[in-house]
Amino acid sequence: MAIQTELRPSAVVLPQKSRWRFSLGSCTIREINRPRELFARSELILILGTSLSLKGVPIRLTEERWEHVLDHHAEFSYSDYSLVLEAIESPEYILLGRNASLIAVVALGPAAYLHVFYKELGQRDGFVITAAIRRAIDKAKIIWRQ
Amino acid sequence: MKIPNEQEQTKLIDLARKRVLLPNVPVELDYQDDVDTLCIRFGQPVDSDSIKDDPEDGVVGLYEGEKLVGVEILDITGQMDAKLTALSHQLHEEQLVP
Repeated sequence: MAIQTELRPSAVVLPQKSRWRFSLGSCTIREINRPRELFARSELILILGTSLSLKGVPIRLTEERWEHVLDHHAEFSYSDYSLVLEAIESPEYILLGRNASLIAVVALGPAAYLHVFYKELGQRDGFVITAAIRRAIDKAKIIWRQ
Repeated sequence: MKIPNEQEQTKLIDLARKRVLLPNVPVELDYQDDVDTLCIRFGQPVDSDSIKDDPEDGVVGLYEGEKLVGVEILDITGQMDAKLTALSHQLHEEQLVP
């Protein structure tokens, strides 16, 4: 059975069988009762969250993508995906990345800048590609600032 | 996705070398087909100055503390747009998004 629903943090009530973890943000969940292994086998896509970019394009962060980020970027923990989504919606800087991708940057502290790499596909979709924390930003590549 | 095919690995490493000067250490590759991104993990940490980290060109260093343990290269085969467009179509076909 396929279930598709928009959830808000206060409304998140997970079935006991569920293995999924959620912290905050709105999530689109499909077949929530299915264990994680079945998601992997059936190639279903779970969207962890969606943020609107400055142009109003929905930028989606998939579970698979976030797990890859966690696999390779030791600076993040699972719940940090909320920071990634917030950075897209409320960046301090936007840098121009490779192949017209965009990088939303938020200062997390002195010499710690969250970089969220994403790509807009027209007006209806966009996707987070990866995220990293860097010590500095390349000011020459800034195309927008708060 | 680990790449079992040696020919594919060689092709990806060649593409990576066009973007970044790789250190002479054993590496492990993780190609992420959904976004056309290649993660290269070094067999041992290398001097952080040995890789030119260039996020704006899609070359992102992977660190563990102060140690540089790999590099992530976006749009490695130049198919990022096509891959993401396919993902977008899949989402809409399966009605996972409005």
